[in-house]
Amino acid sequence: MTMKSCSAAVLALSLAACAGGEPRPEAPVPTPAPTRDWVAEIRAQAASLDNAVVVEPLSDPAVADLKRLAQSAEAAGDFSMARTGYERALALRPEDPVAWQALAELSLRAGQWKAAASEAQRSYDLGPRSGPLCLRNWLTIRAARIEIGDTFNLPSAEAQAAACAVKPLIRM
Amino acid sequence: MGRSRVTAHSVACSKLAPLSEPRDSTLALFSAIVRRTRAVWAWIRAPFWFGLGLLLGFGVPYGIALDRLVRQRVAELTWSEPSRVYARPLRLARGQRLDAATLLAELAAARYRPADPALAPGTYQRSGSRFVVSTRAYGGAQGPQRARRLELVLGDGRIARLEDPDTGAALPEAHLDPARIATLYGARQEERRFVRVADVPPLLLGTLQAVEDRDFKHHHGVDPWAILRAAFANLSAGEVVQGGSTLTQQLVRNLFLDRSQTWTRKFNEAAMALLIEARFDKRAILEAYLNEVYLGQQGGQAVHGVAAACEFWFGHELASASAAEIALLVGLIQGPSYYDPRRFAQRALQRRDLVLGVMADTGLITAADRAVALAQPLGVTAAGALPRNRYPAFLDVVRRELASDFPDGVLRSEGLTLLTTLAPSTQGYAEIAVAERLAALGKRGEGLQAATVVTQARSGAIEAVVGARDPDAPGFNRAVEAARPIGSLVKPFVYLVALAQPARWNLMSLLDDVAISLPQPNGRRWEPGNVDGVQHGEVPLLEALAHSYNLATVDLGLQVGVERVARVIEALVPGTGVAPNPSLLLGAVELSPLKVAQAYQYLAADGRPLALYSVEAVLDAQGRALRRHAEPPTPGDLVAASRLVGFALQETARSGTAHALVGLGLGALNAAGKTGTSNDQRDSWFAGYTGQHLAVVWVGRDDNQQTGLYGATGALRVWAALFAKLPTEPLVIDLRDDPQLLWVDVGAQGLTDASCPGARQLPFVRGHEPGFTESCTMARIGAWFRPGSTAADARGDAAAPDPRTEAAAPPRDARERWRLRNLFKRKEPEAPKEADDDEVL
Repeated sequence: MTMKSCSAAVLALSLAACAGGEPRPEAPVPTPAPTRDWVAEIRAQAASLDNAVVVEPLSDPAVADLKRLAQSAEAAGDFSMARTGYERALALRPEDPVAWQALAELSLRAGQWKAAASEAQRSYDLGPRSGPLCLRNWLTIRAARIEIGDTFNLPSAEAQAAACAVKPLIRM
Repeated sequence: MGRSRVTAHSVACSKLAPLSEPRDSTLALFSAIVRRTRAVWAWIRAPFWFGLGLLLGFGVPYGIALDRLVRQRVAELTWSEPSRVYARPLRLARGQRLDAATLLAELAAARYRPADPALAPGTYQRSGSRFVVSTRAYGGAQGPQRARRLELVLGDGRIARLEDPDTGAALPEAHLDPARIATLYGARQEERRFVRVADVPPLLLGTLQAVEDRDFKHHHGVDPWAILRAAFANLSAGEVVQGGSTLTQQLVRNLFLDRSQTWTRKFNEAAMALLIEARFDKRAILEAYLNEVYLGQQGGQAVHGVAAACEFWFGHELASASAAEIALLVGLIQGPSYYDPRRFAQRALQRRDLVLGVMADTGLITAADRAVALAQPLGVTAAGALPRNRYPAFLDVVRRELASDFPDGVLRSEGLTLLTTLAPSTQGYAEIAVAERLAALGKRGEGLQAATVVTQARSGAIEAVVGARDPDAPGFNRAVEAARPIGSLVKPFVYLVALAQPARWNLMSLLDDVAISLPQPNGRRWEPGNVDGVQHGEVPLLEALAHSYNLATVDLGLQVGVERVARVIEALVPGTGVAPNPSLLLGAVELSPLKVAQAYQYLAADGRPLALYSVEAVLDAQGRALRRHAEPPTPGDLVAASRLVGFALQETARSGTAHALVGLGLGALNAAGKTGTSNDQRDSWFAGYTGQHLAVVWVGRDDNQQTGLYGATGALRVWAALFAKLPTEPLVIDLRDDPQLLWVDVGAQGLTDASCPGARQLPFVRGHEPGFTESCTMARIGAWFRPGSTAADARGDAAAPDPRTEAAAPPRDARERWRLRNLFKRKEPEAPKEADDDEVL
């Protein structure tokens, strides 16, 4: 090989190394996969909640298709596309509690505990503060606190989660 | 003073007549009353005349003025309905490419809800790959479409079955009703959907009267009994359970926005209510009320009318509102902000239950219905009407397309229906692809912008437009407004012009990829070079395009004539002026992504000159078509040449500058694509099409600085991310007849057998096949008998053709040059193909 083609090859190799799958700018050194499937647990608990008041976020027409694509991507295991989809939905409608909670759950999957907690908190602040979504919010925060090792604040998260269930009114 | 008057009076009476015994006690009573009345009259005489004068002098003109105001405002009510913009209705047919993710996204965009079973229009049910969908009726471009139920089964990325679930009969085709994508409001930003009283559910009419105005049918505008009754009920309940105002009074309140609680306003309100009742019949008043009542707020948009409110709160049309939903709507009238179900769920729930109680008490619903309704959740969507910045780039294209026929004012106030060609799922994929790929570049991606246009290959309908990396910046629509040098994206059109002369050029023709130096008008010389800095010598035309060799393209372009190339581009992209400089051959022409898409649409549509369009039809408020897109039946005139170019672009994607697509798993699409990079890597382009879609992607910086990206590393990645998800048909170019595929030996520049080494299939225009036939079998046999033959000759490799066997071949310029070059000069080695991702241009 000539000098020119040799240096070209070196340049090409280094460019290829850079152009290949880069980690997202905000992600730290990738943590090992979490041992506990928090997302599955949280969703199972929320599904079994018996609740009187449910402000069900039905498909919000504005960004419903984007959230649906993101949801399908998550179900298929494409978490990068799922995250992008929810972020796009939030860029259009920044106060969508469902999308914030979905991001929080994706952060749980990725092992980003602090991000998960802040996203879940945002979802709670914007949401109906009762019902299954509220429960998922606080269970996410609780999971993040467990993983970080913040045992001091665990009871408050659990108490908030319990407050999400609204007892049915007794009508005479 | 009073006493002296009485005294004087009695003195006067005593003077008039002697006091005699009254004959009758009644008479005495009567005269006592008359006396008293006269006394009272003396007191009120002055005020009475004063008041009457006031009434006549002030009250009557005031009343007339009020009357005129009332008439004017009521007349205004029937106008000013915003125009609604819809995406294209999703077409469903057996065999069509569709996957579950795309179908679910389309259903979500069209506001379909999951339900078990899917009976009511606007619902669907999914079990695995089987979907049952109950579509809504809608007014389409071809007229009204009826609601129906469908069952479809997906398999292998396609619709495997499409049938009627009730009868089992197979359906050839069906459509979902289109998703609503935008609303064009007038100046007053009022969200309203006009309804007639006949279209409103009777339950709603009954509930409205039961809760707000029981005596609506009988009173004359003001109902004093209602006021008393309401006061009593409210006091005993401790909260406001009944309203004392009539519907007419509330209508007045809505018409005139002043909501102060002064006596003057109350008086005005009552007076105007009486006037309205005198002027209009009950039906008109009720209709006005139903369309005017204020029922919610979303930022700057006020929601007026029960139909718009139903869509705003529940996301579906009024006709399918349940009892619980009707109860909530009526309950909201008292205070849409106070009872906002999204912010104060508990309050809203209590109010709704209260209304349900009233409905049951008045017999509008049964006790059983009430129990069922009480158990239901509020069912309110998380957020209401569409934000106005969704799809800004696409709507910009729509507005430009309609600008000449429909001025903006008309669009915003006439209640028109705009049926566009947007595909919400495609748009979603495009937006996510742009965001994801640019974010994946990390630091390198900061400050980068992108634009994408996706169209249907066979019709020219625009399915998606992305004008910015970030939807929050709707101002600058780069897809339409960013005219950038297109670089190598121009090359297919140079080759198109050449291949349109099949007597002179075919895909096998040899071009000179050698240094060139042209004098320019300004005295300097233009000396282009290849990106890899290598001169590749003689190269077949196909390879020159696939590897985007600059020098070969200039060689070809100069031979066909730069003027001709400029004219072809101007013909493909109307309204563009193209300067016929030699630098045009390397893409020194500035076009927006939309214009580039218009040019490539010619190739994607198999040589048919289709104009890109974004509006399928415009309907007036009654559903009649004011404008409809009609596909012109013009056949293409360069069909064969465009297919040859398409073949070459498929080669580009297989082994040329876009071969990264194969590595990214998209080889099966057999897409035709062209990478493009402008000077100093300021613009990264990719234009590619499949059998169903064409997409053009641009990546660059707004400040026109270098991006560090080539077409293959920037725009191509976005294109690939889009097509990794978008269901689309592979590209199959029709090469059975004209042009037709033939086995050729490029080195020998002639036809050959399929089994010969070095043989490959290339398409040729009918009637212009290469005349010379070199059969490797014959050559092998002939070599046995030729003295001085080498082993290579015996193998029949594509070496220099023996001059003796050439005698019968017709002379061809390219062949002569090629032969002479081989006799006297060593052939330049071809640049080694690097199998990495940085293949440029």
